[in-house]
Amino acid sequence: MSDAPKPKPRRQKPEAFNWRSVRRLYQVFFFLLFVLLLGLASFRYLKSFPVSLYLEADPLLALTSLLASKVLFAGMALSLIVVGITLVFGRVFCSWICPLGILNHVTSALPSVLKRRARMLGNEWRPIYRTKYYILIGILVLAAFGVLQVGLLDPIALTVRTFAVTIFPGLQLAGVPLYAVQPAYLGGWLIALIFILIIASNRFIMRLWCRMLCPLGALLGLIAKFSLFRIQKDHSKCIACHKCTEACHGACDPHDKIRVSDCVMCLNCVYSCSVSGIKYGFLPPVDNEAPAPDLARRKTLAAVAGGLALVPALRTSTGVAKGANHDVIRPPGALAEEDFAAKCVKCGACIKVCPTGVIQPAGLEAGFEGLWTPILRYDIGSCTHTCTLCSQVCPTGAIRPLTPQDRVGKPPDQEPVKLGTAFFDRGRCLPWAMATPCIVCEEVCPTSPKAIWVEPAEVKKSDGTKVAVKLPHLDASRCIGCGICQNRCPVGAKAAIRVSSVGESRSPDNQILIKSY
Amino acid sequence: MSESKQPAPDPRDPDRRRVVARLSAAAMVAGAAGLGGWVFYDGERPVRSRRRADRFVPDHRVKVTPTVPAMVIARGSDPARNTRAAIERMGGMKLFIDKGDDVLIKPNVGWDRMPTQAANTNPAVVAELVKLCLEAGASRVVVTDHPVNDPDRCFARSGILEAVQQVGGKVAVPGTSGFFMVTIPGKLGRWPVFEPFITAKKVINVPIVKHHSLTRATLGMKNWYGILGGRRNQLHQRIDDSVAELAALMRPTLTVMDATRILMRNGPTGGSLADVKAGDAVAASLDPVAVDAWGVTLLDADPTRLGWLRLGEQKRLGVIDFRSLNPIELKTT
Amino acid sequence: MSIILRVAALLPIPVILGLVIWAGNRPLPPPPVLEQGDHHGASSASKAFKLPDKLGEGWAVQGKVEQYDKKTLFDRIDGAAPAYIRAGFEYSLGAELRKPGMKESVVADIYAMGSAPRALGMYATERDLSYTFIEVGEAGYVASGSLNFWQGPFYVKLAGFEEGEAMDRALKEVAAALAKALPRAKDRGALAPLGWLAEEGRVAHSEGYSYPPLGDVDGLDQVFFASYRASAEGEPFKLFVVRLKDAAEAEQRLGRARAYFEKDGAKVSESKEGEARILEVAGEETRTVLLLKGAVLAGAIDLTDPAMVPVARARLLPTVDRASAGPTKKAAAGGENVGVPGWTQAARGKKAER
Repeated sequence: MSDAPKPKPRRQKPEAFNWRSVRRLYQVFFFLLFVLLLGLASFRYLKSFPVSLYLEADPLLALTSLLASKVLFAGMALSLIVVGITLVFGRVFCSWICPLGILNHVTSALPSVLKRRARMLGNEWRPIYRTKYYILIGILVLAAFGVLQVGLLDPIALTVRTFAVTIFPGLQLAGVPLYAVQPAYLGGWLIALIFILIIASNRFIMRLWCRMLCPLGALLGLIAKFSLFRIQKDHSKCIACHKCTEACHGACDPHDKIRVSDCVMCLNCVYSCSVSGIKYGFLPPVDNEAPAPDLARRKTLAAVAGGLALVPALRTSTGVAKGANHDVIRPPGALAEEDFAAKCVKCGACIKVCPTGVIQPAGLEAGFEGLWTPILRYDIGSCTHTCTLCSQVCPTGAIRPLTPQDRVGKPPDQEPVKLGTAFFDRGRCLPWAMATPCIVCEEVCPTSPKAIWVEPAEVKKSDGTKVAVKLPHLDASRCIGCGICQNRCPVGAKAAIRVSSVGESRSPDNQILIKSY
Repeated sequence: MSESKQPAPDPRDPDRRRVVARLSAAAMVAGAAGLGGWVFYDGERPVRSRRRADRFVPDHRVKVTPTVPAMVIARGSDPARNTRAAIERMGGMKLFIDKGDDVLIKPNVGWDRMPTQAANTNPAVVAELVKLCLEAGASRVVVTDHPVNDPDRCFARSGILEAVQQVGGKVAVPGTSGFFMVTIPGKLGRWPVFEPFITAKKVINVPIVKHHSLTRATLGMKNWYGILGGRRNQLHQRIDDSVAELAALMRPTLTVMDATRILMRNGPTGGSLADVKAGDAVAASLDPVAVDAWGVTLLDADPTRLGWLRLGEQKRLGVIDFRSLNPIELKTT
Repeated sequence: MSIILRVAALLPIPVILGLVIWAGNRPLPPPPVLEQGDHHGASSASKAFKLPDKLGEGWAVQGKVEQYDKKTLFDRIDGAAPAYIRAGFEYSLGAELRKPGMKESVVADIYAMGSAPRALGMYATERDLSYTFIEVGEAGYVASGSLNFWQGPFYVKLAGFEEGEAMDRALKEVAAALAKALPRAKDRGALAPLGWLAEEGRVAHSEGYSYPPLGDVDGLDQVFFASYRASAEGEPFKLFVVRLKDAAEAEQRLGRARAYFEKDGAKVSESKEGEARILEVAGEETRTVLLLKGAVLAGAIDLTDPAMVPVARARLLPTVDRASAGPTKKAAAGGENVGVPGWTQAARGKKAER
């Protein structure tokens, strides 16, 4: 037994091109790809690009939409690839692929004003980081009952929505020509605020969103429990210098028994360890890891109960099942409202791609469940007659895929897609109420034969003279509810012809004219 | 450089069994995810269809010998006695109801009114029919209608709920479920129909004679509106076709027309006793068009001018000239 | 060594980029068809079929291939033209075909009838069950120095210059060569009703499609039929079946047929069997049975012996069941729950035209 002090192991200088470099390259690639794909979602550039690729590859969106609608729709099968990657490599998605994760990582990696010890303490694991699992459980319980609210907190849906509603329009304001016309979206300020808060929180606690709130991270963490490759530490070399903890993004205690489910594969620990005692390898010994994720039983039950209680609370409110707001007009191809609520993940891809900007994120018009789901606001735009872009980009099929032929129909066998019916407000209409010729509505009506027909008449002006006008009428059997009449009506404040959802193809009950079920 | 030590068993060497255990755990998760994806995958439809199978309504008529009168009109002050007399003069309920039959009686219970207001079928007539069916050996007699006003109030204030339950019949009050899609031959297409009308073996139509602003009269053929759910408020856009097509769909075993009180004006809801006239008659008939035509004459109108009656005759549901059937008239008091 | 591993780990990047670029260049859905085309479905053969100059086995086209449309068909076949036009005629090709060593040509007339059922219908009109049937195209026969057959939407008539075995052989060669050159039916699914008809007792080669009403009965037009015998010496009768757009249309057709019989004074009795409505018509000379179930209309005509009525009924009930057995997969894929026709994800990008 020697009393000589242990020689201080020297940290091996990491090579220039190490795995962190690989990670950084992937981060740049995947973030740019995300922005590029979303930017391609427009009439000019869409072609057949898979602009909803990230949404389709998101396992949380796939799982919850499957639970809610009992269908794994088309492209969502790509999420199995991400599941496979996680099963082999761990939560690489969180740091290498997820756009929100990458932004959080970059913001967290900026130089900190805190001292070493404060940084280290900030990165220790806290029990409150279990919250993301409870959120995940709540979301899954709701989805099992057909209530899909995952879009509120799923990072991909959130980021796509934020880019579509605030960031891209903001760039257009700053001069980047992304759109032909500057778009504006209802309630965009709230969506921007939430995003700013998430990014800013990284300056207080590194990757706070990823550690504490992200339900996708929670799901991938549960899968990563079985991953084949993971971080492993050689305890015999450790000198408890905590350099790993200072650099750790996931707060997964690399200095101790690592919490595999929380490790976001930033690989910082590997390259900051003073004794090069941490590495990433195949199936380390079991005692290397803390059992994960170690949920408190009472809190888990509370999460389940909370989810269960929310289902009747939401479904006995008007909006989805009954008493639907007839001003809520959904995009062409949208499913009937109950099915729509089980499929829409509020991602905003349809909002981004819409060429006229008529698709807007809803507030509470469609009930709380409808928050940020797409509705059409004809005071802002109108729905182009043969356009099917929104149906092409919807990842879950909440707006089911349409061909232009499906939209226009093929009389007499195949009806066109109807979004609603227009109604004249004769007290405001220029020819009807103000003895002024107009008929812009009839002019722009795209159906042939037109749904708006005019009847010549002579009306008296205020000075007693007669003026020839054409009085417009609506044929409800031809109207497709596209809203261009409402959008172009010169009567401001409230158009003299307005569209209501009644008569929409997607609903068997919301009809005026008699027709077979 | 660490000094050489006696190498301890390296805890990082995964031992075979642990590797297999971990690999199989990962494989099972992968398999479960893949299996779930494969079972639930659908490249075309975003939601599974919840459509239930369409149903069909059978013909409820029974074959009778030519000696059975096609129409009997019983007059008197007691509606129950009138009903019994009319049925017995036809040959008795045993001609129509076999032992063990599941019988459905369809009165007009559409409105939240009391019997004196003559908006719904007289409860005494309905109850007497229930008794007659049970006497003929029916295993079960169900009385039902899908009202326009609130169902509970309609069945209660019309007096039919109590009257039927007192004689051993059952009342089925429809809610939101229990409707199945039936294809109605003709222009109407598919509509939701209340299930008892689909499953009953024998159906007896028991309308009341009332004025109606659109069809001039609402009698037996229009009584069948009460089998439907869904957007009934749109049927008026095709009123004659819908009445005739529904009558062609539902071929009742028997039609018993309640003319005890007649609503002469402001139908089909009525309300004021001044609109009600005493008719003191009950008619039983095998011919739904003829008995409706007779009812129209009680309202001082001409049945040959009504489109829905003419359509019914065209569809060979019966004849408008009820006198050609030689209806038998009898007095009970 | 590990450098190679790390560089290799970057390989997914160009692969993913390549996949994204490939995906972006997949074909787009076609623009909508806006003209009100032929209501029966404009066949994709509305562009005239181009007959190749050389047909194989030495047969070649002599001179020019003439093309005829509805207006000019009269110039080629005189008074036979109206029948073809009523049956859906779109255009026809006329050509002379000759083989080296032959002095005379075989005259070929290829009629494009618009769809496979219509071609079958025209073929069945001119066919007699006593002809010699051969295997060419979908069905064909030789008789008196000519050969007729049909394939896809085409009805082909070949006229030889003499009669005899040698001519028959030559005609069969030409027919085989033409059958190879002509496209096969794209709408074979439209011929499915032939499979619904009973097989027992069917007279060989008797399948047809009636575009003028079967037996002149109003309402029985455009139905698939075949001839049957109850016994070897029995008189032949016909069984027919058609699935219409919906129950309403089927009801309407049945109504018209019924009205037709009743106008003649025939007795019509109605009954039900399960969900099928059955009408039995007792006319002066023959009896007719009509069945309606949902959107399917079927029946038997030319029943001379009353004893054949139950036989016909028994043969028709399974036909109607087969016909009602659910909508086609394409119909089921779209519009069931939604009211908006479906469009397969697979079709997007894979097919340039539907």
